[in-house]
Amino acid sequence: MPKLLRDGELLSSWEDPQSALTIPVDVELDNFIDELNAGLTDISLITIEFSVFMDGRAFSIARSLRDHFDYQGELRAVGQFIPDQLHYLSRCGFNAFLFSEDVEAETIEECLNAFSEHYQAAVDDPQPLFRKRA
Amino acid sequence: MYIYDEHDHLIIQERVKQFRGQTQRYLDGKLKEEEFLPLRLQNGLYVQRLAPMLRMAVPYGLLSARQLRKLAHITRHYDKGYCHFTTRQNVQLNWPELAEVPDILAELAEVEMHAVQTSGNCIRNVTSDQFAGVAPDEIVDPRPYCEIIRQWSTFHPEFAFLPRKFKIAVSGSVDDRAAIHFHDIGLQLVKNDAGAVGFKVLVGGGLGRTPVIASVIREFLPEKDLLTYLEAILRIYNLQGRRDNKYKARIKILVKALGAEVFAEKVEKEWARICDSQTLLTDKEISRAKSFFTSPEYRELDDESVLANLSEELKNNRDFANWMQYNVREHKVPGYRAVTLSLKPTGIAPGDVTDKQLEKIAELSERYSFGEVRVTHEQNVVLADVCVADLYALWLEAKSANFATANIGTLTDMICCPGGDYCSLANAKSIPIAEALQREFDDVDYLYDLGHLDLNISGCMNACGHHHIGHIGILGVDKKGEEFYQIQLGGNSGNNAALAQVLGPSFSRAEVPTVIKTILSTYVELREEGEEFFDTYQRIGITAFKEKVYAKAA
Ligand code: SF4
Repeated sequence: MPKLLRDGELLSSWEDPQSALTIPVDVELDNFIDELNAGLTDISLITIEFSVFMDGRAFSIARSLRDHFDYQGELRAVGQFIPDQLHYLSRCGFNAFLFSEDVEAETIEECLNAFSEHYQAAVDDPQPLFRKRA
Repeated sequence: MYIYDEHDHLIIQERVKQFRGQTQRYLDGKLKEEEFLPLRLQNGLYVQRLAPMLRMAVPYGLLSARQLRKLAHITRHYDKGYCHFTTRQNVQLNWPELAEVPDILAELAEVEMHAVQTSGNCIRNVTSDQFAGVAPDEIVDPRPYCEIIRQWSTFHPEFAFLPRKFKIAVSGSVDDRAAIHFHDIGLQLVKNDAGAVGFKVLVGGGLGRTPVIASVIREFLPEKDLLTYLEAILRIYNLQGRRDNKYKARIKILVKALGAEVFAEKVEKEWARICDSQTLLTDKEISRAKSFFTSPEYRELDDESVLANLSEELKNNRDFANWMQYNVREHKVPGYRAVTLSLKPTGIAPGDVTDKQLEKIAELSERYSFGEVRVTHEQNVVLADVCVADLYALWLEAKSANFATANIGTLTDMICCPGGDYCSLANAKSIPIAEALQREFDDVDYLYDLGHLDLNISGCMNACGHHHIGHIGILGVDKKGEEFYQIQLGGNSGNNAALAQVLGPSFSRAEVPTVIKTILSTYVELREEGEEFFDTYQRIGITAFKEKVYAKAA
């Protein structure tokens, strides 16, 4: 049984929203969204599939979706990403992750929360550390 | 020097904990080999020919005495008592135990050091000029900006899985000593007509299999826009750089394929979206960064009179006079000099130092240079703030510690990668070549007569020894399982950036010293008054050298 980590909660069953969309990692995001009639307004689930975990394009796509296109719905990573990428992925705007059964909950938890402090701004925190330093 | 606050400490400690967990999962068989690979690389850990190799970061080359002592302790306790300064201002251990690496990282963290992003397909340790802050030709001190870039790039969540590695260099002086034309991004600090500080931005330079001189994509980027602009460049590269072929994955290939202009347009378009984000630097942050790189407490001195006090020694002691000429450089403050400790005496692999030597360097830095040193990309160590009055005493001590070989900038001050003795990617050994050349050219008068000469040696096409940008470059190649060496001429890493050209068919190891000798005597024969090797080469081209070398061989 696969599991879904969604907004920090590990689920063994869940419902997928109706209006879903899959974005390939080699997308030209501007064109892709231009061609959607209504843009992203009524999309509530976007899935991006990793075919190899070393392919980091999804990190930038996620940031663009959140920062440039103001996408608010679920952004889900599926495929070959690894738990050790969870922290960075979530910083870039992914909030849902589909895992195969053999990944341990403890590992997920540990990887997701690897850092509590960051130098740079990202989707999870638009303010870089230098603006917060006393 | 930058000093960590509680935020920096926390981030580095969390990294140690993270890597400890990853190593444990790997050793427990819960993390697959291929998954652990990029994670350990991003902590500088390679698995090499003989053992793992750990590359520790020395941000833009700065080390304090305390850090040097910690490195000495680490090399003694976790390794065989020596380490290696690299051509990217970092330090490598050659024989650490995998299981002990988390402990090494914890020890490093105690002295505000780490091995973050010293390898892997991510933004690497930013490099700069070893004479930053003291060079008379400096326009703006690059160190505060290097630190700003270091922080921004450290654990940047978006750019940890780039198509390939990514290297940034910053130069703040008129003479480029940071090789900004040969980095993925080269930044030249400039002032515009209004006196505002900014950067000239170069992209897509690099060595390796396909050496390329970087293209300028922006003549003036205001300093506050530094990080947003870097972010735009990296995003375009991350999305559009090639991932199908590792040899075509560097940004230089993308810039070439698109053309620098088109690449620049894409960057500008992306940048327009993020230039107002909170990543825009603030005056406060720039002055905070600058506050760590203020001048030490220099004494007020009259240059001429302190120098006059050395005239006896200079007159009577030729070795000292040579050292003064070659290893001691001008300083922006009267009465001070920057001194290069040579890590290249004959018979020692260039850049190798023992634990005892590290401690000695720490001691010298405390006694003579405010407790700080800089590591150079030529694999030496600089004491940047030495009072002229102390030079003779320093020389005596440096000499007894074997750091005073008066060869900086000369042929025997070679850049040399670890090569086949250590590196699993090598086609040929490089250290024995360096040693053979040092033995061949042991006549200092001849050496000095040859003048400024960069001789760079790499054990394979990856070009860690920067052979493309040596005036003379030597590249190890494999010919049917045998080690051969290709000779290249006419490279230059500085303002007159140039890539070397191949002289012709390669040579066996035994032939190399003779070939280099022929090249040099050709130069000596054909040079005109006042010409350095590079000038002569530029004037006469490669043919004259070719004829001599291959005529002899025939
Ligand atoms: S140039 Fe080649 S042999 Fe030398 S260190 Fe780099 S990869 Fe190894």
